Amino acid sequence: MRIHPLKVARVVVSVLVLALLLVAFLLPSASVSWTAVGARVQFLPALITMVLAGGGLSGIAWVVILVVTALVGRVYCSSLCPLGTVQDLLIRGVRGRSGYGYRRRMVARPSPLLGARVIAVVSIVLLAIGAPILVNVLGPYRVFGMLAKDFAVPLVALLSHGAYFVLRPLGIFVAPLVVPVDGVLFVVAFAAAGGLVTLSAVGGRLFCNALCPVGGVLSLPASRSIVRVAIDEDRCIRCGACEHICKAGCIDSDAKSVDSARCVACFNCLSVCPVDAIHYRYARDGENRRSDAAGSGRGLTRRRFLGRLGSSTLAVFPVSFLIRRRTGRVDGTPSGARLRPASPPGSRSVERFTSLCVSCHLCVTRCPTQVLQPSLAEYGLRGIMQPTMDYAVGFCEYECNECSTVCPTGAISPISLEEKQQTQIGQAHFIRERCVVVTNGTACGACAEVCPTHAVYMVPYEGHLTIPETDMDVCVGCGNCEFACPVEPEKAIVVSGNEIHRPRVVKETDGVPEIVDPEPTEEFPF
Amino acid sequence: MSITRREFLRRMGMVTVGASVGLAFPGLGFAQQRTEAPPDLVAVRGGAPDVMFDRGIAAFGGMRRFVAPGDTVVVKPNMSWNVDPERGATTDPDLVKRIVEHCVDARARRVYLLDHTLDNARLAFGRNGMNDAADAGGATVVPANSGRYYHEVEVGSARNLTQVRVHELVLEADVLINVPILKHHGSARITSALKNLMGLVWDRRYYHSHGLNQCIADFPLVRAPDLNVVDAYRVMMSGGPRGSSYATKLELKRMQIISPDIVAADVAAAKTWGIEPNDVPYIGMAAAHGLGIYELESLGIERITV
Repeated sequence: MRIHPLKVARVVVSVLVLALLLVAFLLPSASVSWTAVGARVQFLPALITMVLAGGGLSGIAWVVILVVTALVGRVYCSSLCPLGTVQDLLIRGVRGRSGYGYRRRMVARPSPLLGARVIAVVSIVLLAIGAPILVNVLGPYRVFGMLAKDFAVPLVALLSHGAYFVLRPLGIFVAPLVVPVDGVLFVVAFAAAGGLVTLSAVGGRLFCNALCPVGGVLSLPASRSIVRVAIDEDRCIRCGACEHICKAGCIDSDAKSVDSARCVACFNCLSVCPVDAIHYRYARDGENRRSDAAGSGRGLTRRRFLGRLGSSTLAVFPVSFLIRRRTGRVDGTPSGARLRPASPPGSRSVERFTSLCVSCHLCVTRCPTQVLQPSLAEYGLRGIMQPTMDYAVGFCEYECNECSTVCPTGAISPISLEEKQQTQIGQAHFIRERCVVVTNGTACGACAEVCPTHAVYMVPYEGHLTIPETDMDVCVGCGNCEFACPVEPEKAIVVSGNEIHRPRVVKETDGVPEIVDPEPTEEFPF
Repeated sequence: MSITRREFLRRMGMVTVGASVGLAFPGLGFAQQRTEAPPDLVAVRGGAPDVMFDRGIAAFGGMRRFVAPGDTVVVKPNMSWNVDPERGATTDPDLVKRIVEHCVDARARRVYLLDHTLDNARLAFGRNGMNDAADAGGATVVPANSGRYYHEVEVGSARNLTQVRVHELVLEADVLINVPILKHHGSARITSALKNLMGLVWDRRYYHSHGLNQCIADFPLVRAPDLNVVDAYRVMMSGGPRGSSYATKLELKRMQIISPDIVAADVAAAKTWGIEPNDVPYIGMAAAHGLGIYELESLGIERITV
């Protein structure tokens, strides 16, 4: 049996997009950040970029996807969506080439497409009022990002550490991928992966039609698409082969109909018909369409849907809240003000950032110094999982603007390196009574050593000792100082984020500092 | 075969004449051999860093005095900062390249550049010129930012740094060449040969919280460098160790100090910078450990002007 060329095409495209995104998430080198283009063609990030982040045409992808879907169905779901490709791989792994035996089951318990549409509406309304929380939990690109970053990256890191044992005896030194292992996030990702495997094993693309907000949105134009998978009623012999192989549970071979609202355009069915009665073609409105009234009003389905929604969100919330992941963050500055979280440079304000970020964690994986880490309670409940600057884990490299170049929603707007170096995202507060110089009477200066803008510098203290002093006008909030401070568990210098980012005072000139060239002399100083 | 009496007397005569001449005029006939001991410290001034090194190392008798054929050499420059070399915060890359070339000429098997950087290593090594220096000279840059390569050692006679996680190359290499850049340091007063070794450990915070000066002085007990080359060509006089373009002044001292004695090198470096060695606590502490000679007057110093 030949494989239909459309199926070949969508497999090639989907593998390509998945590979691009995996490279963007897994390889640390800056030279591959162009692979983040795979994120720019995703529906929700593009929507956010254009409509909410003012990104203009860089967020055009969602419009294109909507138009294409209205014309030819949900091809996005099988070719561009990385979670779709992951599910296809899981389905292949779990089910092999055998189908789903949906023949009886689908009629009795159709997948609750209404549920996905409700989720879609609620997600978008919440997004519009600045709370992308449902997108952060169920958005397919975000879920993929979570699997990539909290699951695949630690595994790759483990492999790269294993490479040490192979390469060291050969005298080859490598820089193993260093990933701060977060037990909570790994467990959450593991649970999500388990959930996805279960959903795929039980019902194929069940996530896409029951939970996915993008699926809910696209099901509307797809239900009336001009080109779709359709059965020639004259030729069909109701053998059920297409229904059996269908991943989305959208074919009813008894009724000889295909529900294009649920169809994810994988084209697997096109190859299996023994009488060549199923094609991807122009179909008149009304022909071959199954009403999707089934699925509403059936108690069994609604309960199952709510159960699935509940279990996936439950997996994320309480576990994260109960365990305080970070140590060393102080609860107050000397003035008594509470430490505020800092959002990455380019986000312009914490408010703006938390209303646009979908927590895909692409920035987290690409950050070369790993200062960007998913938040738990720092941004409050609605901002869970959105990245924040964690100065216990890393610092913001002065000569880097990588995160702003890869963010697919514009939450971190593209910012030039020069502009980033003049933006103050937070301020460092020196807590004198904790400083080693004061408590131990020994020299330190770790903070001043690493400050890139001379916002922290050493001044004479007692004897030969020097002690830090700060100039907040020039501070950029990079956290180099806090990261370097050796005092545990609460550091002697801490950075508090600015609610709204502001320009810092720039005192340095461009280029080289003042140079003194003394007269040449024959004298030696010793 | 037997020898005739005449031939025997002739040969004895030649030997006697030759030995007398050789003893009377030591430089004649044995021109390649130095009869005086190599200097304890060489100070060079007035040229570019790589040229000064050529002259300086020749005064010791060449790099082969320190590197034997087949040796593994670790060169420890200061390449910690993601800044241009003209900022005076990192060792001059031409000097590093030249040192690597000398090691390669001495038939070292492998030459490594090693530094556990403060800034992001991947970015720093490109910007401060060390990647290019390594490629041009024939060395391998070691990525030192993974804890896997560091092993804990006990430091018995240390006062504060009683155990430390140090990079395994430091323990395994045949030769360790320390190539600091001399500059102002906000808390340690100046940074030179002794302070530069801080880039060989995994946990810098231990030094800062357990008495910075004493830990700096303790470290050479783990391994003292076989040779120290202090780059004092472009010296940061304020705002160190990172420097900023408005709070920093650089001075072109055009000097270089070379010595196997790390204490003597830093005493000379302190005087070059313009501070009394007494005012740099870690130098005296290192001398107290017996790591080198503090009084320069008791050393054989060769001074070279290019």
